[in-house]
Amino acid sequence: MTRSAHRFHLEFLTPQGQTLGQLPLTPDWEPALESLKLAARRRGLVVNGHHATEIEPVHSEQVAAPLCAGFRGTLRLPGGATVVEDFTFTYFRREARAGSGELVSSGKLKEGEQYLYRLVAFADTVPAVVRTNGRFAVEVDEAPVDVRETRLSDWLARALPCGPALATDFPVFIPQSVLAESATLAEAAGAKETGGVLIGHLHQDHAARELFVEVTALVPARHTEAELTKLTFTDATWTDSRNAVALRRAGEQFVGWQHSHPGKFFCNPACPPERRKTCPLMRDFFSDEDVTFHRTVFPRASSIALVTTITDEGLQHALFGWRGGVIHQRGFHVVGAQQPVAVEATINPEKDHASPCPTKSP
Amino acid sequence: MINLHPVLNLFATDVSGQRRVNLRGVRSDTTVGELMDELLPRLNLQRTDANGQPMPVAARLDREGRHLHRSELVGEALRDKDELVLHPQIMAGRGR
Repeated sequence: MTRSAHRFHLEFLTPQGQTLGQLPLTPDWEPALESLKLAARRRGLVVNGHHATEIEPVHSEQVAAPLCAGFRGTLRLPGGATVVEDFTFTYFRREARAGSGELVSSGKLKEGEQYLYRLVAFADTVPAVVRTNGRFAVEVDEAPVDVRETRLSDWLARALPCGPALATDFPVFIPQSVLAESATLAEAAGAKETGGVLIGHLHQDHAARELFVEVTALVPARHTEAELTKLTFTDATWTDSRNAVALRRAGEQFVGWQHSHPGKFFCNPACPPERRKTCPLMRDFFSDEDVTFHRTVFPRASSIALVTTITDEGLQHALFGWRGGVIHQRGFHVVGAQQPVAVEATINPEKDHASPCPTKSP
Repeated sequence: MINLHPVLNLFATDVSGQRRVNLRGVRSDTTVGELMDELLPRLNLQRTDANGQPMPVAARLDREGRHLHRSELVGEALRDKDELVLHPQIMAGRGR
């Protein structure tokens, strides 16, 4: 159970400091909780269903109450072990974007106008309401995490790093063959998006106190509804993907997902070549829809998302994953690669798109 | 066939197997729809897509290789200790 004795709000301001309004938050603490659980597992601690999480605001000399720089999550495990992690206020950036939309709708902010936001927290004097439906009890049971004990150094010795890596990120190993299959699927789909499920294993190196992800295969998603700018995974897609994993009989689990962006088809052909080169839609990116997908289907903090983008210059791969409860582009290791893979990506490219591409040919 | 158990104990997982809940004492006259409405928030599955539209979620019963209808009664469709897997119909991509 996740508890907080505070109510959190976002406060919106003009760049000059004039208050525009407040947005009460109904925080989704799940990514923070998953981040804490991953931190515990990386330390070799056992996380089962009988844990408790507390959330409290973080203040500092520069950021005094009720303003807060972020929040602190404390995971209390049976046996007395605790894991603590601080999260910055950017944890709520999606809510901030939604709130700015409401300010535009109410006329307090103009479309495209800059704004600032900050996090505030107040002590909650209203006791939490416990929901019961009276028909049955629902107990959240920590899903078992199947982890293999291997040596991280053995993996690092036969893989090439690529992408923006932070020392604090857990390692991810992807075979060159999976990247090649992702590229083949993207090219075959042409001007439509395509995707699949990444399957593999979680590994633990107790001596190195590290947990890492091995991708073993990409299961192409079938029975999807694919268009130029969207890809829908249907219930038949999931049935087919789960059956494919079961048929392999290798004890693999869903560790993430893959999809393509046909970037060169996003842009209008009338766009000048110089402009297409710098178009953010021509780079790998992770859209709001992708974030929602990842949050819904792959909430565990070790889950990853591979994006393959078709650009005018060729194919690009980028990997995204959870960091501090927020999805970021991250590095990975390619197993069996002859040379490093070039990657470049962004989150929510639309805001980088300073002026729209022409929609009609000249 | 109506299940003679007045109440059932069930399991439910999300599609990636990363979330799991135990359902204890589910009355036979509960509909699958009522079960789902209680389950989804407890599995912390998002109910809406990035545009705020409701996200359809199907309950898969692997034992029979089919999806359950919301109007089905638990006592008729399920057995004690059955496991449901929740399959969201969900969109990825640039989306606009």
